Amino acid sequence: MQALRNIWFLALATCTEGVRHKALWAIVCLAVLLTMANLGVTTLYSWDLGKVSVEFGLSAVAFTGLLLVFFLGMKILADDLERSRIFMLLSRPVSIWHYLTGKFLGLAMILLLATTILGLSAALSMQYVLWQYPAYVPPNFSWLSYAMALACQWLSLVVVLAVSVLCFSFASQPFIALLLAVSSYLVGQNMELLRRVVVENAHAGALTSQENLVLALSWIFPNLSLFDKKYVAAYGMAFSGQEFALLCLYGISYSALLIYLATLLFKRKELA
Amino acid sequence: MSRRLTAQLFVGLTLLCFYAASYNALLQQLSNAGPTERHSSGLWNLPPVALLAIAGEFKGLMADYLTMEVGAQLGTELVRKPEGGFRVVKKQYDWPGIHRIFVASQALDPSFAQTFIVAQGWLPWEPANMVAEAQEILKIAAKNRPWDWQPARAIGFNAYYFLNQPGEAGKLFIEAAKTPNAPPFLSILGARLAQKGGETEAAIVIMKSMLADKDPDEPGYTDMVDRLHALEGVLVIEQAANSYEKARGHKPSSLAELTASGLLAALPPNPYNLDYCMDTAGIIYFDKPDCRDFAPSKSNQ
Repeated sequence: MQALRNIWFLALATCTEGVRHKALWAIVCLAVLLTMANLGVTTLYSWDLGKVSVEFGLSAVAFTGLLLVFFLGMKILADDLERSRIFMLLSRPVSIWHYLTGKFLGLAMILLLATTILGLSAALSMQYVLWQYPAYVPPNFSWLSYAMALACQWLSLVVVLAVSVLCFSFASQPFIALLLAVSSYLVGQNMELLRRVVVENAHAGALTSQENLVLALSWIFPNLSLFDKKYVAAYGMAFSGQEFALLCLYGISYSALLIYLATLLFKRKELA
Repeated sequence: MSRRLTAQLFVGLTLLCFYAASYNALLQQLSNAGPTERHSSGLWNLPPVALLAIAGEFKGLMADYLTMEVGAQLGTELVRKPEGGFRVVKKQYDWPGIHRIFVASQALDPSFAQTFIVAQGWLPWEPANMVAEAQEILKIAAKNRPWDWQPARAIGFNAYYFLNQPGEAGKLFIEAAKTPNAPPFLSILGARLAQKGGETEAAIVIMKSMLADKDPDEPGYTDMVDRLHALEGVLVIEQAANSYEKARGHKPSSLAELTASGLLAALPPNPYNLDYCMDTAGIIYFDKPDCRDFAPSKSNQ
């Protein structure tokens, strides 16, 4: 019970710190500008305006979310070490796993807040485009698919955040942790593509006969492209509730595993 | 004004002039270079797998950018006249390069309408003459846009207009007509072309299967029934003409000769209230009493 209370307290404190941070508002302003740009960009096209609008809106959410994870999230974690706040916390009855889980959940809450604001803002601009050009709206477009795609986008960001926390837990410098997290994000975005190339193509160049290695890597790195449902939402394609539930389970279980590993590694880290 | 401020202004202005001169020289150099030279390199030259890897989760956005790049490379170009104003010049297009951009855009987003519509608007026509390439792009679009009848319609149009394959075009139009919300004229046009391509029986079967899926109250239903009856009339005449050819060793020269031979008691009724007609090649028409046809001019419309 005490553990849950500690985690909740840390999560709320982290979320409050993030909201007070000027960087968050700068990023939100950028995102609002991107969303407004949606209205202008869409009119540059002659067909599939609905698709362009939905894709642009969700991409703005993804881009801003990544900025939040890589810069704001890493900065909040690094600040605790640089300003020695972590010693104050760990000297209380707060264990390392309380600390990391609380920080992770707090940052995930910031991401949820930002995704909700950006998602609603993008939805407003999309609604305008869909209302202005009804002939160019995909026949099966639904707001439910859009909401599910937005939720998947948030889950994807949460997974990237978990990777960042893991990198932070063992990297000697915040910059190295940032580099590792960005590299993992890039690998994660292409994991599915790489896996398909190796499995479906017998002549995959340097990867020929390395199927087992690639398959093993696909289990180690996050398969982020699975969360990318922009295409599905933009064209109003079928997106089953079962797939959505499985994606949620995958995202939560993978993040939980990474936070657990981060706790183990963080214990070995030299904090002083 | 202090000496220090004057010096700062001088340095600032010098740097500004240097920047303006170098940037202007660069722009001049770029405008003097030919379009091919300017656009020969780009992201679109990468293999599709590499493009997908680079785009990551922003594939759709990159496809949007590439179609905009195509738009920038196509169309007319305004050139400033020395005496003032602008004149329109015909650009030298790098068609293989433009085709590569279409392919790259489609690799990133195979469902994007802008890609296949713009490709169809330019590639198969003069001076690009890239019908096969356009057909490939359209086929991918048709596969990835099962709700849209337009890619299949465009494939059918190219088969008829550029490749001179009316039978194939007819089948494609009929295939396009099966798409939800497809206009009823597509099935009629398809059946007509399929029949023109010597596939009357296939056209009848497809037409019947389409009628079975349609509500009699739907717009265009009666037109399709009329077309079906006309095709059935054509088939009766064709079968009689084949029997005539088998028996006599040559085709009948006219429908009157066919009925006079006794192999066809009378011409079947034509729902369009016109006389059937047989041309010199033996093709039967139900909507051209004098068998006259027009030859389309193959120019960019």
